[in-house]
Amino acid sequence: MRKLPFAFLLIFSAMCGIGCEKVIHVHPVNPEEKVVIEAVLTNRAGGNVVMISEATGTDATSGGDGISGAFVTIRDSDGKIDTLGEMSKGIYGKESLVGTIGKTYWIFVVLTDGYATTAQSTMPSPVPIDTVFLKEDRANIHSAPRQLVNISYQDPADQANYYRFVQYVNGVRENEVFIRSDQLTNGNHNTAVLRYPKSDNNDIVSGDQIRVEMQCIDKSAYDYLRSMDRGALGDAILATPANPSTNFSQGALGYFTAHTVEERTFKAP
Amino acid sequence: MFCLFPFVSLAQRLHTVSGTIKDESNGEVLIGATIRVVNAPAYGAVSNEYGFYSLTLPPGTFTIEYTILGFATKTFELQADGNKKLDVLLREQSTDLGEVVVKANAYDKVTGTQMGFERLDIKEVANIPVLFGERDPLKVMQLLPGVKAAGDGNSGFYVRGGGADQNLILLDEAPVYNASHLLGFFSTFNADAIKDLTIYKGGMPAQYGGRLSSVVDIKMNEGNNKRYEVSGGVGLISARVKVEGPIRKEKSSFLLSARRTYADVFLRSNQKYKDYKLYFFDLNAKLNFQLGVNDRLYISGYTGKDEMGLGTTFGLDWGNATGTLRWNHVYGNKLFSNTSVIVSNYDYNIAIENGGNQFSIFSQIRDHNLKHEFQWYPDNKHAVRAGFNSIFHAIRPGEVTSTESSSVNDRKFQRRYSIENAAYLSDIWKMGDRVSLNYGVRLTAATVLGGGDFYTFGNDGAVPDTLHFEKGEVVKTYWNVEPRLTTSVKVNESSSVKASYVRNSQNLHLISNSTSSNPTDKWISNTNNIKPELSDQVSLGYYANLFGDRYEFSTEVYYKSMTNQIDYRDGADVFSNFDVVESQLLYGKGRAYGLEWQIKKNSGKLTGWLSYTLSKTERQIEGINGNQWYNARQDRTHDVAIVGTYRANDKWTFSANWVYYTGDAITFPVGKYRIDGRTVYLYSGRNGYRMPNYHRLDLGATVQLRKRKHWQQELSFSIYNAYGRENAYTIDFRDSETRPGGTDAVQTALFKYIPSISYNFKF
Repeated sequence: MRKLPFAFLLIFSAMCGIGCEKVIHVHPVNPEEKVVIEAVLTNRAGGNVVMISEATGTDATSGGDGISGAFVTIRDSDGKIDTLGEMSKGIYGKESLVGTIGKTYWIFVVLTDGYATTAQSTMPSPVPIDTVFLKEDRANIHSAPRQLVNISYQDPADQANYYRFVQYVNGVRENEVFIRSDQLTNGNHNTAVLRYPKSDNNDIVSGDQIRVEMQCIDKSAYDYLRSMDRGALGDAILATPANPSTNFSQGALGYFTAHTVEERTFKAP
Repeated sequence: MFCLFPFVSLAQRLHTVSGTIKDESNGEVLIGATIRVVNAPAYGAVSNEYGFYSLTLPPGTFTIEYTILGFATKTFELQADGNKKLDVLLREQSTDLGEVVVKANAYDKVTGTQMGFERLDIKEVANIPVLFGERDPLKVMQLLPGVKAAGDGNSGFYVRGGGADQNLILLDEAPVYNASHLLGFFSTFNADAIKDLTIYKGGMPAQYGGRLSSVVDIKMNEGNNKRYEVSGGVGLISARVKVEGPIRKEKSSFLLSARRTYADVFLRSNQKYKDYKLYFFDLNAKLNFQLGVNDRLYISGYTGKDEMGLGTTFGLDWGNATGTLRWNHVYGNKLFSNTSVIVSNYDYNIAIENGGNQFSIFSQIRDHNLKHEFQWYPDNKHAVRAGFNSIFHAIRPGEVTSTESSSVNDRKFQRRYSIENAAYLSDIWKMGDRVSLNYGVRLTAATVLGGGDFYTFGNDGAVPDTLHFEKGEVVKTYWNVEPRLTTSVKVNESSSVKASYVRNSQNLHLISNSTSSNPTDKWISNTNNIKPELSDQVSLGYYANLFGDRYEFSTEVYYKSMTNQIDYRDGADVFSNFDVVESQLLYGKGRAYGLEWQIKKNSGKLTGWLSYTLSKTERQIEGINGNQWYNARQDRTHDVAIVGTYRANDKWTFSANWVYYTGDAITFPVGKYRIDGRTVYLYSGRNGYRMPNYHRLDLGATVQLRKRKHWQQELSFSIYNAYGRENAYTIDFRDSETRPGGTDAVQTALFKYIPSISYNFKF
């Protein structure tokens, strides 16, 4: 949707028999060392995972591996502290840790070299899914009809809400970032359309196994995902490229989110 | 201030000759014509923007010569024994015939008192090839030194390191807020309706103000007051028609000019694109009335609209409308006055349908503007201007409306009101045969008005305090004194040196988070937090007419510093709560310096110019690029343009232009990492990299078809980007498909070999 004006531009130039893409050479550089932390805490058992890794150069074929030996703890607003163990290289978790709605969580990460960083996130009250259904949609460059997942829910009026949706088709996750805020829709019944860029072979067809997840996220997670989506995924046209607004301190990349999860599974008719 | 003007005491009785200079064929007034006294070269005058001149002489008999480029010179013997009125009609003459060399043109860079400006004669540039063959004065302007195109095929431009919003674009004195159509590929100025375009890059005269980096003053044609004339054309993407003629012969005239694209007709004929809407139109109209000897009234208007849409899913339309009412009055023969009442409007509307939600977002900026000016020619040595200008701005940043069934709530962001008041005084003082001083001052008071809430902000963008103001209540007034000074010294008959200092202030700001300009970028006014942008520019120039005036050489060097520059924070939420937009903004400063050369040939079969600019443009904004200076996006080290038109014979004219410039400064990723199963890029620093260098050749040819009485036709052919250079429009980064773990930088080029043909007629 947001890329539609640009799509017009491409159509306009395509009409004139032009508009072409080519890969150009850009000198790779070695970036400064940066720690990347993706930390997720949900209201489900086994739903927490903290992945710690290192950023690599743009043309690195190796590196980006997990960072071992980190000391990872999560403290809640009641002062309860959980220490997460390393389950595999760079991946930390604790089976018994389950997030509680309304609580604020702080994550603390200390690496073996003494580097330490922290972030904070509050698990919002869940908003239940009302219905999930498929509906025909034509909003793409070729106006081609295709089936898209729609999720409806009733937004509560008394608070600011932020949502995130994740879609899996036959177990394959759609990479498009589906986020919503209630800024323009506060207190109303909403239907979110999970519209993703169309290619030749990614339409949902009859018989596909579909799983959707609705997450209620807090503002810091929403801001991270929004700024990542607009400015850090390699598209130059949407916004001035910039690192996403992280809730981690000390220059760490990535984000920490405490959110609720609800999912639905169905078969495309 | 008046005491600074040194007036000559009148020892002998002087007489004044005044009048209006017009084109004999159609009665259009001629701007910038020179009035020379052949047997007393110390005396002289220049016609103003309404063709008026006033020349004061001692008693005696004089030979007076009226000249302007492109017209045959007229000479009168005149007995100065009393005040006289002399209206002069000049006849058009093509420059390639004979050795007519017009000396002492007011816009001649050597003899004129102005610096840092370029003037385009619309007729002169008609043959220069442009994209899709759409004659566009703004695109030709981009071929001048110091003026840079905002992108491939784009009509947006940057002047001496300024941003696209720092250009004051005036159409018959009315500011035009978005001068582009169709995502920037065409300007809103239909060449048919335009008479004259002057751009000031530096040394702006005091009557102009409100933007930091340039003034583009565009004047519409008045309309033929002698006979009816219809002209028009059909091009690759648009059709145009213009009708003009007298209302009362030689007393009043009208002009109506329209243009519409028809690309959408082809678009819809393709089944695949049948839901698309994509077009624009322009409408220019002007009336002018001679009311007696001393009064003239002009009414002019423009409206234009762009529309694009995809079924009911998405729609975006935007457009400008301007209206100007002007009244010229001559008091006696030395004092000329003009009063203008101007309305200017820009708005856009986005319509979106998403998951059963149908809603639209409307935004508007509207100006009411009053100007009054006196031009006083007290004697032969001074030309004084004094005036005031008062503009009321009303901005509606965003208003969301939705249908009943929609889950989107209606919402109106606070409307913002402000008044810009300015008073100015300037004088062009001929201090002697060689030296002249063009000096003045502009005093501005920009007042932010309520009602509504205003906020104070912490460094992190948080809002600690809200201040409420009633409607009409003054929130804050920003005062600025803007000195304007240009001095010119004639080295000899054919060369001169000039120097200038100007300060400009800007109280309206366009904020954009995108790397390309968008019709939905927001205009915001000053607030209690957003302060006026200021620029100070010094420049020095050398000008020479070479080889018996066949070539004109000019070079200027400039340094400009800018304060209170505005940018979005990294990761700003552009579409969030617009009432507190300042929480998303950062402020800083800028500097730009450069050297410009141009050599131009104005006469003969081959005309054209070669220009080269060497420049640097930087910004330093707290919170961006680690607070260090960084290259502005429009920083281009080298910029070359070669423009040539060859009039082979009465039938054929050929033209070509070639441009080359350093690629724009942009931000590339320095690394990558994975979040949520996908690649996210790591950035350090802003604009540390370059797009590939840009170059392009355009070719054009125009053939005059058989002429009959009052019936002229021509065919124009052109090829844009003749050798098919793939110039990068954007560069995206994505995971490489061929090298596992690698990253591909993918450039998108838009225009490669665009041939076009258009047919133009006139009867």
